[in-house]
Amino acid sequence: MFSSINTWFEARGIYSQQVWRFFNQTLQMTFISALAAYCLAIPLGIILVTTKKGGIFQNRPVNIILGSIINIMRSIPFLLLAMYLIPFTRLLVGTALGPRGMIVPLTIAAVPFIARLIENALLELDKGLIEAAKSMGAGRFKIILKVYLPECAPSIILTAGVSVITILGFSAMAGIVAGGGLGQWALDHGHGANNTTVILTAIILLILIAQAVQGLVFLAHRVLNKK
Amino acid sequence: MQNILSIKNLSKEFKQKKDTLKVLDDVSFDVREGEIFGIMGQSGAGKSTLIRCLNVLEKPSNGSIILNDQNIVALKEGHLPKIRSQFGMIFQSFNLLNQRTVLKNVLLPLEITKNKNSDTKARALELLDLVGLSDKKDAYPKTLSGGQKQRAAIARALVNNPQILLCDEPTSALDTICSNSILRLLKHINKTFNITIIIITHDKIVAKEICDRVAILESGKIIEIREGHNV
Repeated sequence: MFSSINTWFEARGIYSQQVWRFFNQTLQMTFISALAAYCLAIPLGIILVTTKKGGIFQNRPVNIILGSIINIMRSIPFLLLAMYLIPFTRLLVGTALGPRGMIVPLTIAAVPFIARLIENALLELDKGLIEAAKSMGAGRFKIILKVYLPECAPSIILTAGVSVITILGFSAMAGIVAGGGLGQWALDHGHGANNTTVILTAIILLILIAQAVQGLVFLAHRVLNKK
Repeated sequence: MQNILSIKNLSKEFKQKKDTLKVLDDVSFDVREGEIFGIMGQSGAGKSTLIRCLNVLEKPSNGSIILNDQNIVALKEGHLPKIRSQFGMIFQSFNLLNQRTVLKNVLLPLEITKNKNSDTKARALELLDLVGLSDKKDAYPKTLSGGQKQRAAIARALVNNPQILLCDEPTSALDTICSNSILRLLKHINKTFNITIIIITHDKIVAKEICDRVAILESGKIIEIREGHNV
């Protein structure tokens, strides 16, 4: 049974080992970039929210400058960013090729966008809770650690659905700049070899990853949210 | 009775685009140790601003607040958290943290002030017993009724052994039965711990029910201070 399926696929130029290699590359670059991007975006999201008018670190210049940088970064198309960053990527991770070389542009493209999502998640916090924490004698950093982050954790988890799937989408463009992954496979072995079955298979695999990610995110949110 | 808190010539202005809005205008009064002191007024009279000035959540524009021979208005921002932790505070909307169980909510002030005595948990459990929530200690706030939420908030406000408990419209979001039971609880706490309670309300019945003295606030000024039963 299994071998006959294999034969069917191989007759259409789809070799399981090859598919797995590209599939794993996609998973690697997506999840490592997402993780790195969250590490940078969470502090930025906190700065965006707390420096707003009425925020605990109210600071108009910082808020405006950071907001503008984020808006500018978000308007750069991913592919152009990846090309432009090639020298910087080489400097940072030694190569601009393959999944390893894609992690840098994917992370940098995702940070400003995730920072905005984090900002929205943190804005949901009831201001009364900040006041209550202050009344207990909490300083500003304590308010972030004890109130903002734990209270908004379920909403922050929820942002991962949108952001990981967006990074997954970006990662499929990586093929154009020799970044590996399913996008590369679809480009070289599908589009390049005039083989639509390969392209369709790549699409289906990407859909499956996206569904799995969104499902896990919803599950985690349901377990963690006590509100 | 000795004064625990002296408010002298307190005023608070909010700067708006062109003019300034005077919310509190030369307010002076003393609060005696161990009493239940009410501040009553219509909405917009400045009650909420006044109670937030008392623990310096709002910085007054002028005047002084003397707590233990110290003018807490003159203190620098860095000293304020310590002063604030000497007050307990409860709110109209309870302000419990949704992601923490009742017990963890009660323990929060201790985590914030790093009060790490080994008996802190025992103290929290004792207070939950006092407010009648022992069986709800592992419940999350969303599963509690309004009255239960306010009880949890009261336990939380008392866990650091404050000298003064500030209550901002504590029963306004509750029905009459819950409201009465919360008022009885506050009175009980006042008697048991001899803790001074300052309570903001727009409701004559609340003032009459539990206050020893009541200040009437109108357009940012205290127009008179009466005995509670005379309200």
